[in-house]
Formats: sequence, C-alpha cells, structure tokens
Amino acid sequence: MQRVLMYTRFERFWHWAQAFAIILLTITGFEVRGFFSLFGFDQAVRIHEITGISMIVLIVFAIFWHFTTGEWKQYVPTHKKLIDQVLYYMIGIFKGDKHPTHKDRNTKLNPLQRLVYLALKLTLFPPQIVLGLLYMFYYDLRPMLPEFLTLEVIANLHVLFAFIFAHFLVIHVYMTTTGETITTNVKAMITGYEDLEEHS
Amino acid sequence: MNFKSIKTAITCLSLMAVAVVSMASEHDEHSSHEAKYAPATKKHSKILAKVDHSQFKILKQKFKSGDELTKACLTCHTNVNDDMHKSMHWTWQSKTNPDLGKDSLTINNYCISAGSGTDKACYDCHIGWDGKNGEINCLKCHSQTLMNWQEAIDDATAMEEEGDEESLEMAAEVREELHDSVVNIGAPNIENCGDCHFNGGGGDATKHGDLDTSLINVSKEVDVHMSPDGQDFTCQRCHTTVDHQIAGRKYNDPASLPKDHKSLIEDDHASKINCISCHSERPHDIKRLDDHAKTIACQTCHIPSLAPIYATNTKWDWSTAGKMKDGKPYKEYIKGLHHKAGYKSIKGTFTWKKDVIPDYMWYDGRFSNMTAKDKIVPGQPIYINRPLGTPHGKNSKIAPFKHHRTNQPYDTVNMTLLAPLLSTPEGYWTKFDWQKAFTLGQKSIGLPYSGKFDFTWTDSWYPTTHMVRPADQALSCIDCHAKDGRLTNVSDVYIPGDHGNKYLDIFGILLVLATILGVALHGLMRFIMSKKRKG
Repeated sequence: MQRVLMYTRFERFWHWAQAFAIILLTITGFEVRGFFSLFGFDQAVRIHEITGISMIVLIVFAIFWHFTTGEWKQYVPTHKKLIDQVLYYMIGIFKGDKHPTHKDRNTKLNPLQRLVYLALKLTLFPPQIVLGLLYMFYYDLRPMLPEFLTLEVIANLHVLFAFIFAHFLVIHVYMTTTGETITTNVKAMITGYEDLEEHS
Repeated sequence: MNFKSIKTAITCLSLMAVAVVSMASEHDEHSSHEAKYAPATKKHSKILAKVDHSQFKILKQKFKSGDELTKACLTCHTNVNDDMHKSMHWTWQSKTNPDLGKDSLTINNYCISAGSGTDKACYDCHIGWDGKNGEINCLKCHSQTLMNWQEAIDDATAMEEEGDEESLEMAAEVREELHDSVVNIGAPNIENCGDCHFNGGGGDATKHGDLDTSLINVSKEVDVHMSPDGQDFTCQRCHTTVDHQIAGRKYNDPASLPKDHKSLIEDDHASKINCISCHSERPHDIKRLDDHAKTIACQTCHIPSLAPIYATNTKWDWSTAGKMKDGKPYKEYIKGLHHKAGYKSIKGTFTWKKDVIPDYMWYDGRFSNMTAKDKIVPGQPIYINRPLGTPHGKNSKIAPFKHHRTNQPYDTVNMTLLAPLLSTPEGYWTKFDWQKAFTLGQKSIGLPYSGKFDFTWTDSWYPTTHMVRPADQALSCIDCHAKDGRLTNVSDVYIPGDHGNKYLDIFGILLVLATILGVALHGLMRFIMSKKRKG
C-alpha cells in the first residue's frame, strides 16, 4: 500500500465549498419555489443569490486551476472499461469483486465518473448558471429576451435543472461509499490522502 | 505541502468574500435616498393669496335664490362659468363616451342610477343649485363653512316675506350665518370634496373603501399623505386642477398617461401628479423592490387593506327590500359598526367589512363600464365595470381594487339591468312599488321597461389609491410569495413561492424520491450480499 496525495488543498476546498453551495442553493431554491418554509422567503432569496454568485466566482477559479494544472485531462472520456465499470456497479459490487479500474494520482476518475462529471460540467452547470442569472436580472434583461422566455419559463427550467442536481447529489453521496471501505472516499476528500494498492 | 494551492485557496476565498460583501452592500448603496422626494412638492394651498370676501358689498345682499348668489360671484369671477360647464363635475358625462356618466346611461351596483336628474337624492351631489337647471353652486366646493345654503336662503326669504318683527329677527340670524359661510371662501378643502366623495354609494365609506370621513384629520398610520402629521396634503395636491378641470380617472379615461409619469425633478410643471412625481421610478433602497415596481402598482403593496377605520359595503341585496314592521319601513343597525345598517326597507340587505383585502388585477388606468342599455347574457357573470389591462403590457400593472357584489333588478324580457327611481315622492323609497319605480326610472333615462323583472347578482370594482400607509406597513414578501398568496389569482404572472408547475414539481420530487429509494436498495443489497459472503 502506498499513501498518495490524491486531492490538493485547492481541490478539497473547491469540492467542499461547492458541495456546501449546491446544498444551500438546493434548500433555499426549493424554499423560494414554495415547497417549505425554513429561512423565510426573503432570507431564502438573499442567501440563494449570494451563494449563487459566490459559486460562479469559485467555478471561474476552478476552471482556471484545471487549465493551469492540466487536471482537465482527467475528464477526457474514454470508452475503455466503461461497460466493465457499469457492470461492476450492477453486478460485481454485490459479489465482492475488485474494482475493474485502477485509481492513481493521474487517473482519479474511473471511465463512468469521467463521463458523468464531464456531462455535469458541460450540460448541467452552464445552463443552470445562465438560467440563474436570467432569473436574477430578469427585469434588466427582459427587453433583450425573446418573448417566449418569460420569468415562468426561466423559473421552471431552473427548477428542472435543480431536480437533476438533487438527483445527482443523492447518487454522488451514495457512491462515496463504494470505495475500498465505506468511508475511504470521504476520508480522502477530507485529508487529501488515499492509500492505493501498488500497481504492478 | 503545496504552498501554491494554499495561496490559490486564500485568493479564491477572499474573492468570494468580496462577492458576498458587494452583494450585501447593494442595500447601502442607495441609502442616501431620503432626499429622493422632490422638495418643492409639499403643501401648496397656502400659496394662494387670500382675499377677504367679507369686504364685498355684493355679497351682503339678501339673496332670494341660489342662482342670485352665484351671479354675485360671477361678477368678479368672470369666465368661470364656461370652464365649469365643461367640467365633469357639471356634465356628469364622459367626454370620450357620451353613454357613460351619472347623467347618462351608467349604472352601478349601489344605488344603481341617478336617473338623469330625476333622482333628487343623487343630484344632491351635483354642483348645481338644482341639478343642471340654473347656476352652479360655487359654495359647494369653495365655502370653508359647510351648511345647507338652499335651506337657509329659502327660510330667510320666507321669514322676510312674513315681515313681522320676530320673523325678521330670525331671518337676520339666518342671513348672518349664511353670510359667514358665503364669505369664508378658499380653495376646496378635504371636507368640500369629501361631502360627496366620502359618501359615494349612499353613505360614509359605502362605495370606495379608500375614501371616507376617517380621512379628515386622519392619522399618519392610515394615510401618510393626507394626515396633518404627515404631508398634510389637500386633495388637489395630486388631483391637480387647471381652469376648474380636476385631474383624476373619469370612467374609461385614465387619471394619467405614461407621458405624465415623470418626476417633478424632471419637470416641475408636470400637470398630472402621481406616485412617480415625488417618489421617482426607483423609490426603494433595494433594487429587487424597484424591479417589482415595473410590474406592480405602488398601491398594491402600500395600501395593504381597504376600509381600515370604517367598514365598507361589500355586498348588497336589493331583492329583500320592501319588508315592513307594523306597516312601516325600518332600519336595523349593526352593533359596533359606524352607523351601518344590516337591513333597510328602502335598500335591502347589506354586508359591511373592515380591513378588506383588495382584489388584484392588471390595470392600465381604464375601465370597461356596462350601461343600462347593455344586454346581459344568462349564466354569464355580470360585470358592471371592470379594470382593463394587458398582462405585462406597457401601461399595465397589477393594482388593488375593491370588489362589490349586488343582487339587483333586471328586465327579464329586455335582458337589461333596470334603473329604478328611488327618491322623490313617486320613487321606491316612498311608495315601495318596484313596478312604478322601474317605469319612472327607465323613462327618465329613455329606455324601455317590459313590466317583468327579477334580481341577479352583479360584480363591480373600484380602484384603490387613497389611504397610503407608512412604509413599514407595506406588504412583505410572504404576503404574495407563499401558497395562495394575495396575487394567486392574477393572470399571466409567475409568483415564486406561490405559482409552480404542478407536473414539473411532482415529476422532480418523484425523481429525487426514486433516486433515494434506488440507492437505498442498492446499498441494502450490498449489505446483505456481503453478510452472506462472510457468513
């Protein structure tokens, strides 16, 4: 076994800040939608807006980090062992099989993770951020918007994406338990270090 | 340890903090807003030079009629007659649609119709001495001492004709009182205007819900503009008057047009005064509230309830009128309400409400009005009048209205609403004979009556614009942004917190629940299988 710094300090900060932001945005967002009352409507709106803008700032830095460190390459999708990985979660995991893919500092993500995170970064975050900004500055942007893009349409789309985020969040949290032990992955994301098997 | 990443993280954190702080301080940015009121827009009644009318000999005459008195006024105030006869206070008719007006075919669902001058009780509020016959009664609007001038003139004249010493002495007393009232002249004050406008619908607070005698010496808590402790406005402060033409909504003519919606700082000669004139288009400290003002009329949040002091009439059932006690008409007053009857033989059954939550609708300043000749369609709601507006239209905003429902008579053959004659010796209030009342009433407005009638429920709305409360009493977010909030029934507007999309919301909640169930089952399977392997 080898102890490896899997996640740098920035990565961990980025991950947990973003996790906190997404959870806060989900809670306050659904409060604004009228599902429940927790912070109070006006506070929920305020927290939602401040958190949203803060997360955009964070994402800009994360993008910068990914490009300057070359870490973006971790997300390049591959079909190699993709099916194996899917089959592992469907069958192998119950039989106690070994993970079909090897994890190391330069291949943090398995083929399924690569695909899912890339999809997340390209098809979920950008539209949700754009919708959020449209919602927030609707009355300033209205003269420039096409007629069909009413506040209601924007809000409904924003909520639709929020549900997909919530769906992802549930799976993501559950998937952290599929490491070597139930807590291996969470521990790694907190300390940065993970014990990896020597790769021959 | 990775020094670079620490540095990056710190930079990122501080930038996030900057973002948070800059958003939070959006509120403070405009906090020097107190000077946003146009400073020269406060009181103005005192600017007018006072003329001491008691010096004028012509006013010391022993007037034998109201007309004679008015002619005395007109000797100095020349040309006023022409202006006055053009004013709606005289014509009682809309300039843009001659069918509309109290002197035309307009009906309402209070006392229904003014019967083109035949219904004398209604015509008490006309500015003429005898309706539109003869001269204008200048005193109605300009005497600062209200009294029944007609009665005083008639009494004094009669006593003077009798000629005995006692009568002459009494006549002299009446003359003195009359003279005091005639020479105490000024720009109309709230009591002049309120004498009619506070009593719309037949009594104090009955019709409007935002206009009643509580506005005289009102507290700042009820009306920040009219209160002596507030801005101490006169009615004309906003209802600007040029050549006796008083600004305000007139049936389907808006009180002001978008071109009039400008700040007095922009144009201090603006002829129409509205909220924007003094408060500007961006009066709030918070951008989000200013954004709201693009869709929502100021009144919607700043007049949170109607009839805060005196109850207003919300429902009226004419069909129960005419019951007698010991062969006599009677009234039943409701305890705890300011002189409000639950039943009157002459008018039927009333419901009164205090602190009424208004109806909210899109409104561009115009109304559609039904007239006595418009046909009603069985099974369809009858809207006596209705605010007009286009959702998100350029001139339209969501505004508050007082809603009133009435069960009122209609002609079952001609299918029109009926205008009964109520006052005068032959009217319903004396004879309690509907047939006679409809025959005479319809005749007075030149419309037929088939002889067959029944009662039907109708709806009407009145705009709400007076009794603006202090800012801290304005509606808060959750009044609308909550399930079934105040604006829940307004069409074509999305209210976060109230309006969702049922299908989307159910789909989303099911998606998340199914995901939770899915991972729970997956986890359970893993647990069971691993137990099995070990076991």
